[in-house]
Amino acid sequence: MTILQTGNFWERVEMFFVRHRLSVIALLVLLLLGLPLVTTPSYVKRIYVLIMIYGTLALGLNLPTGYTGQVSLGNAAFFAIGAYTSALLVTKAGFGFFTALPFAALLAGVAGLTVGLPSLRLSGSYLSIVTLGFAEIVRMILANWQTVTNGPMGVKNIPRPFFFGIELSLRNNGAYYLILAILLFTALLCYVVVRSKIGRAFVAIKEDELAATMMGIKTVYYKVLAFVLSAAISGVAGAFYAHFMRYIDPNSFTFDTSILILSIVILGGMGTLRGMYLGAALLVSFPEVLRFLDRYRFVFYGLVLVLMMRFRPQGILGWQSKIPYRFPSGADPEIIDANLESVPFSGEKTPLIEVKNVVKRFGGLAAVSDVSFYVDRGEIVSIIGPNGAGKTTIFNILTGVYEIDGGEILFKNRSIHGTKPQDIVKMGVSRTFQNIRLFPNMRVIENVLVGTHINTRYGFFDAVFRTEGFRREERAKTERAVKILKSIGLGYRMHDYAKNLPYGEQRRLEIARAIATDAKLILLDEPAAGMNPQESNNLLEFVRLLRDRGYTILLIEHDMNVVMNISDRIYVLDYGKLIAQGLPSEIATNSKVIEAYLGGVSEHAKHKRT
Amino acid sequence: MFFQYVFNGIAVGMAYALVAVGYSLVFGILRLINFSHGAVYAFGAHVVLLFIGLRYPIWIGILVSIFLTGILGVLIDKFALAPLRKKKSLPIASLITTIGVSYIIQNLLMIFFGSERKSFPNFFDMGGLNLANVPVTSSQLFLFVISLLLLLVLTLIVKKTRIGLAMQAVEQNTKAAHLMGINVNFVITFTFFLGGASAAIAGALMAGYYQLVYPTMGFLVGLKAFAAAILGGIGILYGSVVGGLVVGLSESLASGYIGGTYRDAAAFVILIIILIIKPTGLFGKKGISKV
Repeated sequence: MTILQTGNFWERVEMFFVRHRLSVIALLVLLLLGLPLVTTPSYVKRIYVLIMIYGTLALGLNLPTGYTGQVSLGNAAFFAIGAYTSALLVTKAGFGFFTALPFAALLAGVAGLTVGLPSLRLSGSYLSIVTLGFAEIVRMILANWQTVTNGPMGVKNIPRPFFFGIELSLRNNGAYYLILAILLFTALLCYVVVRSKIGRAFVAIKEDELAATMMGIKTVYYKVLAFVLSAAISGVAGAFYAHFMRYIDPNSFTFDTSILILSIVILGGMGTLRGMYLGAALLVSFPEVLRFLDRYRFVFYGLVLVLMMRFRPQGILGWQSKIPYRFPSGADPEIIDANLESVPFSGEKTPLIEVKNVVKRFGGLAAVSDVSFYVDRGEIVSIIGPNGAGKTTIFNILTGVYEIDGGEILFKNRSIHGTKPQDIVKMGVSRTFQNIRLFPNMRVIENVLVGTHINTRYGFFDAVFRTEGFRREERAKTERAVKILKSIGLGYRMHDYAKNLPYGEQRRLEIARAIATDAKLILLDEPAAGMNPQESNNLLEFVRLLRDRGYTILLIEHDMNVVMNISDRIYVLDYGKLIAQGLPSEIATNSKVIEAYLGGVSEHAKHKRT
Repeated sequence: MFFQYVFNGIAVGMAYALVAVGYSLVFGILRLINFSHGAVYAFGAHVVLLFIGLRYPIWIGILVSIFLTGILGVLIDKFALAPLRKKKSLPIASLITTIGVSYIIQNLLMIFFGSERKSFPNFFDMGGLNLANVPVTSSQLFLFVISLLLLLVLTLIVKKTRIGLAMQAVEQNTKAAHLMGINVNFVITFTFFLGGASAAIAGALMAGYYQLVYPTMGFLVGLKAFAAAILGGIGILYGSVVGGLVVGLSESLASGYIGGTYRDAAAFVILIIILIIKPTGLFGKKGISKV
C-alpha cells in the first residue's frame, strides 16, 4: 500500500509533486522564463524582480534561522555590504558587474564570519541582539565614512549590469533573467547543502544543541557556516539590488529590511525552501496590491511574526511530510539485514577506560569524590546507587560535558580529560541520556544518520558538487543506519518522526544513534527506565548482543532485574563515593549496599524489636 | 569638559539602568529577552506627549502613562506570550513574537503620532547649578536622583514585599513556586506591569532630558539598556545600574572625544565585547546545565 492510495488529498498531492519533481521544477522554470514575455506593465515586472530579490534574501536567512535555529536580525547589513561593494567597485574602480559580484559575496561572507565567530558561541536571543547591533554599526559606518561611501548621500548613477555588451534592464527583461538566474542558483545551492550531513547538522543544532554536540557535531563550525553562507547569498542579492535600483544609500538597508526578510521566512515556513518563494511573493507584492493598506504595511509585517508564531509556527508551507524518507540512489533499505557487524575485538581483557581518583565539585558540594573504576574491553559494567549519588555526573565527566576538578581519565590509555565532547565522541565514547534527548522533529533514520556524522568524511565542496565520494558515503551511511535500526527492532519505524515514537522506542532510538557514532564504549543512562518487563527483556537481549559484537557497555540503571542479569561487574556509588564493587552476586549481599538503598537500622529500632 | 561628559554620562546611564531593569525583571522570570521593551518605552513617552497636547499638567500625563504603559506590558504578555507558554512553544517563538510586537507598537506610534521628531518640555529644568565649580545641570541631577529613587523602589518591591518574594520564588523555580500555591500567572502579569511602568517613567524622563519624542526613540535606547542589562548580568538588579552607568559614561566620553557620530556605536562595542569575554555579565553566575 502506498500513500498514493491511502493518504488524504494533500498527502497525495505532495506525493505527486515529489514523484514528478523534476518535471514540476522544469515546468515552473519554463513558466518563470515566459512570464516577462507576457507581462507588459513595467511596474509589474519590477515587482517580479523585487520578489526574486527578497526570495534570494529569504533563502539566505533561512539557513541560519530556519534550519539552524539562530535568529539573525542583521541580514540587512550583509545585503548592504554586497550592494556597496559592488556599487563602489563598479563606479569608482571601473569593475564590471560580473567581476565585482564575487567580491560582493566574499566581503559579505567575511562580514558574516566576523559577526559569526565571536557571537555564535552565544545562545539564541543574545545572538539576535548582537546581529542587530552589528547591522546598526554597519549602517553608522556607511553613513559616516564619507570618503568611501559618500555618506548619507549614497551612491548615485550605478550602471546597469552588462552581459557581453548587452545592458540588462527591465525593459529588455535582462534584469529579470539575471535575478531569476541568481535565485535559481541560490535555491540549488541551498538544496544541495540542506540535503547532506551539513543540513542534518543544522537541524540537529536547532532541535537540541547539546545532543548535537554529544553526537560529535562541531556546533560552532556549523553555525558559522550557516551564517557565512547566508551573508554571501545576501551579498549577491545586494549587488544585484544596487545595479537594479541604480541608487543606494544607508537608509536602503535598515532594521525594516531585516524584519521584512525575517517575516518572509516565518510566513513561508522556517526550514523549508518552497516557503521562501511564497513568503516573498506574498509580502513583497502585498503593499503594491493592497495600496490602501500601505501605511499599515510595517504593522502588518509585525502581525505576521506574532500571528504565525501563535497559530502556525511552521509557516504556511511548513509541514511534516507523511511521505516516506527519500533514500539516496543506490541504497535499498529492503535488502539490508538486521545483522549488526562486529567491531574489531581481540578478546583479551584489557581496560578500555580507566577512571582514577576523579573529583567533581559544584560550589562546595563534591558530587563525585575520589572515584576510581575501570571497564575492560567487551565488558558490561553497571554503576548503581541511590538518586543523587553522582552517577549521571560521572557520565557527564566521561563525555566532556563537565570538567573534572581532580584525578585522571584514560581511554585506550590516553588521557581524555579536558578534551572537547566532540573529540571524545570521535575517539569512540558515545552516550544516551536519562531524559531522552532525540531530535524530535527529525525522522528516525535521520536521527541515526546524525549519529554517523562524526565519521562521515566528505566536506562542504563534496556536498555542493555531489561528488562520487559524497554519493558513495551517503549511501554507505544510510545503509549502516538502516542496519542498526533493524538490529534494534526499529526497522519498521524508519520513516516516522522521533517525537511520534512511544517512550520505549525512543530509548532504543537513542541507543541506535549512539551506536551509529562507531563508538567502542557506549554509555547507557537508565536505558530501561519507563519500560515494561517485556521491553526491558528485549533491551537486555540487545545489550548482550552488543557485547557479543565487541562493544563495551557502561550502564546506569535502577532496574535491579536488568542490572543483576546483565552486568559482568557492578560499581555502587553513594553520595559521590564508591562504596562497593564486585560481581552481581557479591553486590546483592553487600551490607553497605543494602544500607545505602534501604537505610541502616538504628540502635533505637533494634531495641524496639527485642 | 571631562566632567561635563562624566555627569551627562552618569545621568543618562541611570535612565538606561531604569530601562535595563525592565529587561532584567522579565528575563529573570521567563528567561526571555523581551525585544518589545524599547517600543514600550517609546509608547510611554508618547502617552505623556498626548496628555501634554491635551493641556493637562505633565504629572497627570506621567501618572496615566505609568498606568497605561504598565497595562500595555501586561497585554503583550496576555495576548502574545502567554498562549505560547501554554502551547510549550520553542523559545525562538517567543523571541520572534516580541520582535513582532515591538515592530507593531513602533509603527502604530508612527501612524498615530507621525514619524517626525516632536519637541517635549524639559519639565525638570531649573537652570544650571555649580557645585564646587563642577558644571552640572539641574536636569542631570534630577534625572540621576529620580532614576536612583525609582531603582531603589523597584529593588525594595522585589526584595521586601510579598509579591517580590513570590517573584524571586518564580525566578528560582517556577514549578516549585506553583506547587507552593504561588499564583505564577499573576506574578508574571505583575512583572510585565512593573517593566512597563518603569519604561514609561524612563521614557518621560529621557524625553524631557533630550526634549524630543519620536516613535523609534526606543530602538537605540532599548539596545543600549539591553547592553547595560547584559553587562551587569541579566536578571540582577544592581547589575543593571552598574551596566547602565558604564554604557552611559562610555557613550558620553566616546561622543566627546571620538566624535558624536559614533556615540551610538559605543554601547554595541561594549555589548559585543562583554558577550565574547563574559556572557554572564559582571555579576552573573555561571549556570550549570543539567543533562
